[in-house]
Amino acid sequence: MDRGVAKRLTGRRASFGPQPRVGQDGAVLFLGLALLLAITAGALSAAQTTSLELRMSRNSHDAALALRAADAALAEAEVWLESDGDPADARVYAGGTRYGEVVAWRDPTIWSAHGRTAGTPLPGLVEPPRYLIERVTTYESPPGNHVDVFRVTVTGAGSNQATAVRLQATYARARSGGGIRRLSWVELGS
Amino acid sequence: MFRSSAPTKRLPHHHSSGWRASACQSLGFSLLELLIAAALGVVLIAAVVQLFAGSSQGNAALAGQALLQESARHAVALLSRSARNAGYLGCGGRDGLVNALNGAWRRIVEFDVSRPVEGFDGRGTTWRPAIGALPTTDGTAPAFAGNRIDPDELRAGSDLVVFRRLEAPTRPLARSLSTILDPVTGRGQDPQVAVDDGFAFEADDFVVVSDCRQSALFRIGAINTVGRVATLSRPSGGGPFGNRASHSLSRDEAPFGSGTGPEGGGVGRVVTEIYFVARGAGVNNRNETVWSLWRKAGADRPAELVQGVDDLQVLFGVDLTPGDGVHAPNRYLPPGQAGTNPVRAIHFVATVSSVDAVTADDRVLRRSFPWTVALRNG
Repeated sequence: MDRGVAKRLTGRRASFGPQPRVGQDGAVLFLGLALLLAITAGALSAAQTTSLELRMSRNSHDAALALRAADAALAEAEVWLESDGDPADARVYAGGTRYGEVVAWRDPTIWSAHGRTAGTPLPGLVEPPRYLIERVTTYESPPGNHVDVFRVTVTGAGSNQATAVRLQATYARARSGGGIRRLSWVELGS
Repeated sequence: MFRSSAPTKRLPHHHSSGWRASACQSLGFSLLELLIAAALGVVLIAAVVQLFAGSSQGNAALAGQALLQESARHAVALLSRSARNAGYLGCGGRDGLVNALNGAWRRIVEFDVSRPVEGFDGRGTTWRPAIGALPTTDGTAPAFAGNRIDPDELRAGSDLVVFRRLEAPTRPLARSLSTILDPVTGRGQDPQVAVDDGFAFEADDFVVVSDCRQSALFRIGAINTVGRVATLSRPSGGGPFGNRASHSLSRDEAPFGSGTGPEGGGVGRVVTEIYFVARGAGVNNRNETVWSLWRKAGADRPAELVQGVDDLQVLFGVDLTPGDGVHAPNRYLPPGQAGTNPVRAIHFVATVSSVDAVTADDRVLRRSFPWTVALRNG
């Protein structure tokens, strides 16, 4: 043992001859390590791609979920407008917007006073969707037939706030009856 | 595999046995050891090479698949969003819509908000109806120079689809807008809108002023901002895209907004999007043409959106009985056969590829994605 160690310490030339394998110490270890490193790098890059793809598809799923939630809240508002929809009800903001004021649906104080939380059964939402009904205008068409126009603004979010959606739709309803008619629908910010 | 201490341990054993005395001096492998080691090594290396080749091929296929799905997701999201919002014209929809430009609706396709969707069915190398109605380089439609669609670049057999709407939300009116023309000058009052952080109108924008009963398309001449109110002038001009001289914005001369508030009245920029499949700017790893989803927005030049979209097919969900109170499609028809019946939904089929060839023999991956979107306006 001592001789072997001494020979190894004195270098390659000393080990030449009777013990030719001494100089190759650890080659397999290094080769193995290098191979492992290469495989690990490949696996890591694949994992990274997968995780990125996962996040992207989760995001689009979230955006779809937010839209469904907002649509559900809009449907709830529609049902209420269709069946009841008393313009004097507290949930309808009928103050209108004066020139030079903040538009009603942008005003947080109006939201907290008249906004409603929709009772949505959708699971996994960060918060339930909310909606605000405004009576925007009333006109006569034809003369004598009063038509109320309601504007419903909805905010919906999926499992995080980053993919929140805001919808706005308007409905016309004649006071003589006949239910509501949707005039427009849009995703705000589009 | 071999410790340095092994030979020194084995040394006495060989001496004592006396078997193969000459081998004691060289301390090498026996032939048998070498053969076994070589055989094992060959098997191991072959296995590793196979594993590596297999995993790299699988990796390339996986990467191609991931790119394909990503492209498809992007294309689906863009087309769905445009389809959902098509036809938005502020509070009142298309009720009482007035065209205050010189060109008839069909002549100003980039701003024809009277039709929320329009389609062109690709059949061989032609389209039904003919795409000459669009701002193409060989078409007859008037258009903004240099920003036309080149039919030679289009994918034969693939459909074109057009969506029109206003930017949302609309900018609220800052004053009631009387639509009665001045009896002395013969001119109409200019619309005035509120200016806030989101204000982004520019001269020569094509906009629609609307409230809950009526709407009108006009072109902004100049913007005069005083305090928090911007006046959008609409001087008359020549050509199909110019404002008509002394033309009222209202069919029945009703003002937009009331004396006290805008009452749903506002002004929004027209957004027209023409989606089509055409030759992309790049090539794949085999130097082959890559087809892409393109979009021409308004008067701008077409822009390449999603690489690797090989084909787009569109069916219009047509309501054949619009008077029955049920807003639902009765039949899905190619755009050329939809006629004048209202379109309630659109069925898309996009064929998306992995762009690059992923394996030597499998080549480019392709998959078709079918989906349907309900139109929410009209």
